[in-house]
Amino acid sequence: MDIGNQKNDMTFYRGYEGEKEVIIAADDCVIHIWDGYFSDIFGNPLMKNGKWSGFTRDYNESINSYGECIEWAIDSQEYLEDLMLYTKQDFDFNESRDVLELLINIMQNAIKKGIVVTAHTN
Amino acid sequence: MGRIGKTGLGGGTSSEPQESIDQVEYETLASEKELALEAREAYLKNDLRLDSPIKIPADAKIKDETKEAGYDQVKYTWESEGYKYESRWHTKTPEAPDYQGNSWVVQRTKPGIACGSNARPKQESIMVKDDSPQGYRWVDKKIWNRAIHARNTSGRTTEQKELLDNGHWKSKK
Repeated sequence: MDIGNQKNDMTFYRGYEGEKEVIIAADDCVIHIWDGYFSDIFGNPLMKNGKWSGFTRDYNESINSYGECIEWAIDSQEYLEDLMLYTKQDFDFNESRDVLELLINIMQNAIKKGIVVTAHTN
Repeated sequence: MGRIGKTGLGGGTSSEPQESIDQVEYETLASEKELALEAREAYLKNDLRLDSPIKIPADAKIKDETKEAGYDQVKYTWESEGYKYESRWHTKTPEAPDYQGNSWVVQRTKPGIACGSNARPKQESIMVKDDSPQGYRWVDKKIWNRAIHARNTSGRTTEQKELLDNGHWKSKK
């Protein structure tokens, strides 16, 4: 993926430099998100059909997008279904809800347009 | 003597093509770059690594970056006794207080288990300096995250400031 031609969105990482970040690449945008928001959302993990999936699995088991991979290609449908589990949850940080909505929008857009979304941590 | 051209091959009077000046310069630069990279890798492995507040094994993975926000970061990762460890060195970041300078943050993670008798979410903690005999304790990363978030938003408490100061271990490098 040619990062050089893509826009970097630091909205949810600015001020958190030096802290772990989740980097999501979709379409022509690279979005940087402070890991603290992921911890807030997925740190109290919810299950679907008795197991973790999507970012819940990745975050809690430290694999895939939270593993060693440089860019993990996401199954947008699976990750969207996982994200939707959290829409009624309470979070510590107000911004976590905005992050959740952003992630849902990214997955819905990816499904609609048939584009690949990748994610990794740094 | 043959003409030395920019395309890389001069005429030459011998049967072998001569290297152009550009090509020699390129190869010299490439060689210097390679030496600089090797020197950097040796420094990260044999020098900076030893500055960490937690012992980093010699075979730890190393990731060396210069970030867009204008700071440098070197991350060492390894596994030991069921934990994933990360010792992260970085130069001063934009939001950090000036007195912080170059510092280390050490984190350990116990991956979660979805099902079964040992089911648990992920457990993350940050190594924080204290007055205990061993000189540090492990603090739940959720508490650390609240302090980091407060620093950026509502303003942190004295306790949170102390936590962040003691979790950023000063580097001698």
